[in-house]
Amino acid sequence: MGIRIALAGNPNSGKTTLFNLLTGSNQYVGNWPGVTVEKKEGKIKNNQDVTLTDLPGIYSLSPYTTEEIVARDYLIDEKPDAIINIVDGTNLERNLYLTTQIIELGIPVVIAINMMDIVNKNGDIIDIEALSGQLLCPVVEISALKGTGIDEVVEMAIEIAKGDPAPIKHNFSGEVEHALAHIEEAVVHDMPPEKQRWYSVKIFEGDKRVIEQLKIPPDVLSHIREDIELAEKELDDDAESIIINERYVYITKITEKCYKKAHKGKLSTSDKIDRVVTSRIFGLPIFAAIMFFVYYIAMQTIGKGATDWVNDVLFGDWIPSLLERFLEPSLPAWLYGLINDGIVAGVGSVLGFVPQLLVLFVMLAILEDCGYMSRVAFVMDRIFRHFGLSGKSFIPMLIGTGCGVPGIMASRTIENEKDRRMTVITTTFIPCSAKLPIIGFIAGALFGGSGLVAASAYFIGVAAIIVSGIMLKKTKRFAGKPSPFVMELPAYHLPTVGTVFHSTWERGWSFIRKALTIILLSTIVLWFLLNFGFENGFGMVEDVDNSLIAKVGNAFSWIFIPLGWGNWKTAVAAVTGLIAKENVVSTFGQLYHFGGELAENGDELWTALSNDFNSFSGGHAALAGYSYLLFNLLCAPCFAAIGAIRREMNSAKWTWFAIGYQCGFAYLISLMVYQFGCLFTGDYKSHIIGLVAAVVALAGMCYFLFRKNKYNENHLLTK
Amino acid sequence: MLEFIRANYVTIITLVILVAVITAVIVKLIKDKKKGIGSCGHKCCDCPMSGQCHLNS
Repeated sequence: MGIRIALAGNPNSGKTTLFNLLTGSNQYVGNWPGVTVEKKEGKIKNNQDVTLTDLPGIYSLSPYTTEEIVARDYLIDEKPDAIINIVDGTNLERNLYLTTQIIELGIPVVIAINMMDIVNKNGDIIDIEALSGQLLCPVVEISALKGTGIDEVVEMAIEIAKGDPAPIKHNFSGEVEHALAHIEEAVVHDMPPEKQRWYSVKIFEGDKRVIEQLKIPPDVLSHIREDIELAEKELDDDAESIIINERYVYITKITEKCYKKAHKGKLSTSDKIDRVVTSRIFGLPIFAAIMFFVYYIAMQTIGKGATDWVNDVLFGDWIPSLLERFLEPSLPAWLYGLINDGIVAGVGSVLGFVPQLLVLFVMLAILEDCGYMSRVAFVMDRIFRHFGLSGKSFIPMLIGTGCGVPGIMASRTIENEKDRRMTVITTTFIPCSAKLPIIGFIAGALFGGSGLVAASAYFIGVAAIIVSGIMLKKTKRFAGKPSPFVMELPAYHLPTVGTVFHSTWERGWSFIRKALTIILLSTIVLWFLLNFGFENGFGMVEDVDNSLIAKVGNAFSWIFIPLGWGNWKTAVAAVTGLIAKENVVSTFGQLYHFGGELAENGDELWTALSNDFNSFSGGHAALAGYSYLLFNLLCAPCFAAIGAIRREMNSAKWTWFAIGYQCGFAYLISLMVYQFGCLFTGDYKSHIIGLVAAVVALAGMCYFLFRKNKYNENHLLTK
Repeated sequence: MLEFIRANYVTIITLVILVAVITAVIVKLIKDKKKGIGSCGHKCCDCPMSGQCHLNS
């Protein structure tokens, strides 16, 4: 029978990095706590008999969080043969708190002190032998990031898995030990001796799950309760606090003997950086500057050059030239049109943005891996809390920059039902990777590829979340205090090439795969709708305005006239975005290649779009384009994300509310941007009805933003 | 018949390739759906947040 080894440790101590190294797997590694919330299994590369289980990061074995429950249940119920306890050497005292509990489980433990490279760099000293002697279990120095000490820790784990668990050295105070002895005698004496200690301590702490699991009779419970109360009275504290305090006293004794800090009391480099990047004054401006820089680099410099090449050379010259040379002479016009003006134009216009996306993904991965994004959640929590929101809502948004679906699902970390619903509704306001081509397309066509437009899309997303949060929090359905947000800030470190590459590849490949599947199918369907219609009876049309899709678009495009883009082309493109947001760009790609009337060149496509926006809006192309961009960013997400909203809300009513709110909010914001923009440019006489509607919308929004919150708890108390 | 095929073989080959690609895409999408692979490109079990989702549902 094989050996089963569990990896357990604090969040962000390097368990998943070690797991990937040992098993050769590619699990997601993130430099923020809570990346792993479910256990994952794998076989050790050079020893297929050994199964390794990566447990979620936990601070204790108390059942306070989902992660702690998952890890604890596994360790108790599945009984692995050995535990590798990963300890972050840069946070020894805090990590040893979990260690003291793991040792009590009655399972052989090997302690792997990780991040020893940083410990050594800081000039700190951990006496491994002394620590091993104190804890009575083997201790090994490792660096999961650099791969040092890895083989040694595995060999040690395999060796101890074959033996018995080490004896427990830690004794609590006399009062506690007295109560524990009574508990062992009264409740757990039938258990194997090595298990008794952990269960006794948990019963002493009043752990409800353990008490329920053991089905302790009420009379026995009442009897041991007397012993516990006696200890509480003598030590003048509650049982749980007594255990916590005594564990820390024990840990302090250990660290006094085997840990020497070179710069005791001095701030670490991470602390010094945090004093600036998370400060009340500089935190937000630094975040804004970094995000602007990221979007600027991706959209305007490196990314733009590469995207221009893909659009102008690859999809603008090489592929069309090949098709023209080899297929056009031999194929019927309709089939050549389907391939060249349909598939190549549609899919090509989406794939054209891959270089910009990859640059963006690389930069976001660097920010995540170095530890900055954790700080952003902290900075945002301070701002969000001011408006009655929780920083917990920012984590789904962070995940949502890749794809809205996992972003929406990540809202499950929020325990407060009202906050969770609100996060589900607002998460997709942050531009996901599928919306980036729309940003790049509009910025390229109407704003000369300005990085400012791209960065503004991100900040408008954040602003939309804050504004929505303030308005919704003042309604009965969403009122209440924000969920508490506790997050450990990991130490900064240089991003690793592997992690950045993995993160970029995952996101980039997902985008390309979608373009080659869903977008490809959509372009084919759209090509038929665009090329068939009624012109002297049903058949292929010469004028695209007679196509089936034009008829459908014309039926509802009038709704968007006040937004500056009330034309069937823009309306249809926005609606096709419901299938997948990339479809907006793909649809434009096909619309402007209709009948091969346009050379397949990015610049010409953008000029055609710019001209059209100019004519729709009576000379306000930039305003109408920005209004269009905002509508597509803020309105209902794609069907996949709507499905995720449906699953998370578990209610058709709430799903429809979310879609209705998102579309309504997007419409009003776009309306105000366009109408007030026209007003400021002096052209308001031709839009007087739209302008009145925008003023009413602004007044309504201001009312909801600034009205008194009658559901505020303090307000109710003073009433 | 042979004459027709000879005259239109490029069209026929192109159509066959096109239909094959479309079929492959549809089959892939259905398989992904059955495997639980979402639009984000991976299965729920590979998602860092999967534990939260499945424990609550």
